[in-house]
Amino acid sequence: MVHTIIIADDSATARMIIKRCLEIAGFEEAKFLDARDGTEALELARNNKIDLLVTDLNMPKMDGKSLLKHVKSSPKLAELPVLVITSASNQAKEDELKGLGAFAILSKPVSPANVAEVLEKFLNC
Amino acid sequence: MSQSAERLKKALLEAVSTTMENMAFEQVELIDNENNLQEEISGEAPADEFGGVDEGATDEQAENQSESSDEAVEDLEQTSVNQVIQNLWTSIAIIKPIHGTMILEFKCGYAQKLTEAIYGEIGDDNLSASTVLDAVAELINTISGRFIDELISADKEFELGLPNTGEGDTPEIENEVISLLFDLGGYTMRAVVSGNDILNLVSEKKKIKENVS
Repeated sequence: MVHTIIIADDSATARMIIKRCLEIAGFEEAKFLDARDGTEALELARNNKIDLLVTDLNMPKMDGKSLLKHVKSSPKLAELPVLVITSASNQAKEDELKGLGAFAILSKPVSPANVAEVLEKFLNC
Repeated sequence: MSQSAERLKKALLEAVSTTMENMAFEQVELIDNENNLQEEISGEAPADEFGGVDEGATDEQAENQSESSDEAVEDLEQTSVNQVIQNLWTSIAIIKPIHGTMILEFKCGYAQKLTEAIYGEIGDDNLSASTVLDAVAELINTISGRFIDELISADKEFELGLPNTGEGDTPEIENEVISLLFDLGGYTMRAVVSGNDILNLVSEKKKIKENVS
């Protein structure tokens, strides 16, 4: 199965690193859609069949937390798995984001190993 | 060196080395362990030239600072990569739970070297100035997150601003609390943290640990 994955991060470097990690973690065949902020990501999610949304938290225009809220409150997108990858995360933030519907939260810098670990859970869902 | 200084140094060293190892697959070496912790600083920390926010700044003010910096970055992107990468600095405001600023300073082409390491096989011809700027901005975003995470307790939220980047010599740094110099294959990078609040954060965490033990 070819997955379609949105990577939302205002940094092209971060998107490249996340994409590389996802490819090494078993998504080498996936189609990746880049978004520079939450607004672009939401637009892409509404107009494409998406299997996974990976998002940063700290982004201009619409941040990752607002994006997560929009996705989970949309009847069409509510079931879309959201993985948050952020530099500003600790247990308090993780609990909050999971409460909003994120299925996993990773702290930057990410490695292929920790991406693979959380996505194994995603693939088994 | 005091316990507070030691904790700051350890947190910064851990944040830089872990980030470099994961993002650029490079081992960094601390080449200057002189710590500039200013234990006796008093008074409020003013907003500095790096886009850090003062203690009374609103979210809107912080956003405006970030927007003006965006314009500076756009100017930089118009110049060639060789002009940009010789001397480059990047900064990020620490907004919550304390106010401060982290600055990374790159000399003599280190930013380009680092970007090449992050991007892997990319050649000089393909490395644009905007790629270098973006890479150092992502670097400070990641390092600052890890640094604050090392210093605060797990139940406390923290928030960072958006990175700012500038060309040339690093502007004067006010209320510097720690400065470390790192080496990567002969290139150097300086990491600086400023803001009196950082000292309060370290003392607070120390008190929590003492109460627990």
